[in-house]
Amino acid sequence: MTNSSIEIRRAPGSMMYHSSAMPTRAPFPYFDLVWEMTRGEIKLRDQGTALGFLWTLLHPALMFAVLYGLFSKWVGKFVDSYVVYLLVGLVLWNFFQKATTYALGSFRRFRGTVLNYRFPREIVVFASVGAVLWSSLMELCVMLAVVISLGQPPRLAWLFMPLLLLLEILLAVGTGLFLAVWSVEFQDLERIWDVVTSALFYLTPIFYPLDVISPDKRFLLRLNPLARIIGAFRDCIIAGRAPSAALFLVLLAVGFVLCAGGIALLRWRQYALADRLLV
Amino acid sequence: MDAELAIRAEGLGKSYMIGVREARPTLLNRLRRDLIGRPDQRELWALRGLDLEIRRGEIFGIVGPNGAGKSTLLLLLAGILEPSAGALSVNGRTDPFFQLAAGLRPALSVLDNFKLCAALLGIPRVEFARLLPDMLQFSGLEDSLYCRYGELSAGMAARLPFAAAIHAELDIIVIDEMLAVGDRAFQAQCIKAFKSLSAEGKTLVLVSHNLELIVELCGRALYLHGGREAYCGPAQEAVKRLIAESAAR
Repeated sequence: MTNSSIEIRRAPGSMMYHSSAMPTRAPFPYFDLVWEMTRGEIKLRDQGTALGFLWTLLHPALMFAVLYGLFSKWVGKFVDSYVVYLLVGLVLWNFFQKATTYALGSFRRFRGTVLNYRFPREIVVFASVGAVLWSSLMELCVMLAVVISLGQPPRLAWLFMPLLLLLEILLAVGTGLFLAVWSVEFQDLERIWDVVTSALFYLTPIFYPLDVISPDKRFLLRLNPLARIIGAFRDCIIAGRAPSAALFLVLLAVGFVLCAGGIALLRWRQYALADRLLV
Repeated sequence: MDAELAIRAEGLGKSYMIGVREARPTLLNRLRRDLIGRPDQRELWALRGLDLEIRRGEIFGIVGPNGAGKSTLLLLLAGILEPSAGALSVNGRTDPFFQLAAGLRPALSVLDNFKLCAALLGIPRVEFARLLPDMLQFSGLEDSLYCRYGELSAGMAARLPFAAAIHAELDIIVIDEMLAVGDRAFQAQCIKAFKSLSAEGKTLVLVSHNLELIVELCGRALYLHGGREAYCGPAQEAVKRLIAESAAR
């Protein structure tokens, strides 16, 4: 900890000098805090029990049953291994949708912490996404168990799954950072995001293949990074095909830019955010 | 800034934007405001033109009626809020701003909250494991370790962040009505801890409506009224003026 650093804070607009009084003993000395906040969020979401986790499984299981029941005959003609295809789409979609929605409300949930302790505010968003990631990892394990039980042997390409998951985590954290900041300023953002994600669900090939879309409109869906991640994930699991390096690097760059932009926005607005939470 | 000074404020001010009519902060209202140009907020100055110097190792009191700007000043000192006017220099770590049990999770256990509080105060995990017995002894929460934090009484709940904070390496400790709910035994324990921290060269800034406590602990105090300095000097005189002016109103 810096015991002798001087911090000077001036009103915005005037010259500023910062020698931060934040801890500086390591590049990111907040791993304990990220861990403790995430652990707390997991316990509060799932009540910290196996039964609590069953509730989180219920939603994707029900979605799977409905979509499979409705579309297997129609879409099954276009897609091999439709069960696995649908499961991968749903699990990855659920992670993105739940993580961003949970991150959106994170500053209101952590209001007391933000107004009473000084720490990098992005940790609140990391903890929220981390808690959803925990239940999504459980869902992924269940999904892989189902895939293997359906006669699909594990393939070497499955080793790329953690990397693809990392891309989706970056996408969710980046989006979540923007949503978390703006939701403090605009209380109706939760409803707006609800509408946007509902539309995005149908604009992402989750329960249908891209082939059913007319060729001139396919490129629009391909612009959606989530669709590309889900597609690459399916290639890994079903076809045993590794993602192309170019696609991976492009998605990685998109994820990093989104996260960097989100953190920059948060740092810029952090005091305005505290004002909003206080008043 | 003089190395002996812990805090220096020059012309310090803080304003908030508050609503003037029924209008929730939504995107639609923001669009309407930008299009029609009819403001639904006005600026409220909670603190204005404050000059202040607090020395290292000092126990400094802040008194004043409700709405005087005491909590806003503490939030500025703790670095949670940004000044709207003037400048504030803080020499040392001031991370936490203690309000009773705020920021902790009532649905989690006392142990989980100790861990969270320690992490928020920057105490590494290994260090926390070493300090936990001392924290438990200080707080008297040994037998409640696995209770839900929300099940504790307000007084017992207040002990947890306080016990964690006095074991953290803080240079400047800002305290807002921390002792209001503690029993006499805990208050006496806290007062002893405050004096010991001050002797170690740590600076304490204390906001309280308990005027006897301010006189007993603080050498100097700031009397705030309406967001401005009404008096700054010996604690006894600050308290005397507050009592006299409160009686006159």
